[in-house]
Amino acid sequence: MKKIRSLLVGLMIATAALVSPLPARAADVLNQIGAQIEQFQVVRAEFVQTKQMAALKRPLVTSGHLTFSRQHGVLWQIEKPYRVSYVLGETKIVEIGGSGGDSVRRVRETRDVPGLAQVGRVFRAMLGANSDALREYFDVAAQGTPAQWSIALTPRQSQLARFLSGMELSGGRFVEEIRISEAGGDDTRIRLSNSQGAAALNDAEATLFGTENDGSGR
Amino acid sequence: MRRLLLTGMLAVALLVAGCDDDGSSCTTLPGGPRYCLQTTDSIVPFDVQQKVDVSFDSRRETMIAQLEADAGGIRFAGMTPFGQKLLQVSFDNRDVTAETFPGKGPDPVLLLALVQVATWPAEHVRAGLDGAEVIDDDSNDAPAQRRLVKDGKDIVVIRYTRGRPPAGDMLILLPAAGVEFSITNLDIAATR
Repeated sequence: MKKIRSLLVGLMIATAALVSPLPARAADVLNQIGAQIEQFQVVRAEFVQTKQMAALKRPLVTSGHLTFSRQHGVLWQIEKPYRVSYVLGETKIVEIGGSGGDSVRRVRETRDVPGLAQVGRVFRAMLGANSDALREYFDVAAQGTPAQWSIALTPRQSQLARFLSGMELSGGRFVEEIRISEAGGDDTRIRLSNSQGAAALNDAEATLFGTENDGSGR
Repeated sequence: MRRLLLTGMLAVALLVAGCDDDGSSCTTLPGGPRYCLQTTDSIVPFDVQQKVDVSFDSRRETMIAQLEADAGGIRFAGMTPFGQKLLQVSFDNRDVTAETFPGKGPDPVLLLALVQVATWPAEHVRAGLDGAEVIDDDSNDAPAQRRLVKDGKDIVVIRYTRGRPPAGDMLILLPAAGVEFSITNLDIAATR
């Protein structure tokens, strides 16, 4: 059960980072997205995540910047409603609160936070175009053209279906929207914009990734 | 991250919960007094989103909380900054229900009791409280501090650091449990 929940968490973040250039044909969109991803070492995007819980009236909206590095992992920088960043690395998870001189770093081993470790595994499966891994959990249906496409993921296993109704990814050259529908009625929508591929991290990103191994804790 | 937050919350629950596992809407606050949730019929409806920093045992965990109260009851949800739901608790003026962590989560009645104790008008809190008194410091025409006192000892201390509840920031201290909640209103924070 925990594995399934971790997978859910992982998918929500992993798909959020799937900001790759689009494939040339839609027959196997998933694999082609992966092939395109390999063109860039780094992909950046802005995100707005809206979580609407069925039992509540007002959604939770967070926004910020996302950086995916094939070599280093994922940098998820929330700007609003308050600043906090996460570096999801291979072996460590770094939480950075605040900014500048007020920032607080907290380093955790992935073995201490297995949920996020699972995030990393799913993330790599997504970005590596490991459609076999996804198909282990989902029925995958892709449609459209490289200019406008969508992918629907439907849980194959009843355990997963207890929590997740389905996921939809859509976009053009890059992934533009991800929708996650939970079985309980909660709905998460992640909108990605201004996606750009790059050959390398910039200095600020490199600093955030590069210091994740200091292991100093808070 | 989720598990760590959970661990923290469970630790808090273990520390503070005087949980009455009888399905009722009453609980025992850390330090002894009993509190029964009050209905929301006469409460001015509100909804707030808050950043909640929980400190206990030299540790500090953060979550985003969403709190809604209206004539239908109270609904509270705690989420990670990623948006993953940690817990969801509601009181429909009759029954308390908790989602996400059946059987192992924090005492939902205690969570909602703290919400009411911190944000409800004093007379409503007094109506639900047995075995302690409510002392508000209103010296500056605003409740700067509220204390629940039993036998001369502070059971719960709420310091309102910005604005009036429920919209303001506040600090909630549970001395007997060694737990502190630092609550920042995100609607206000967004405009700062």
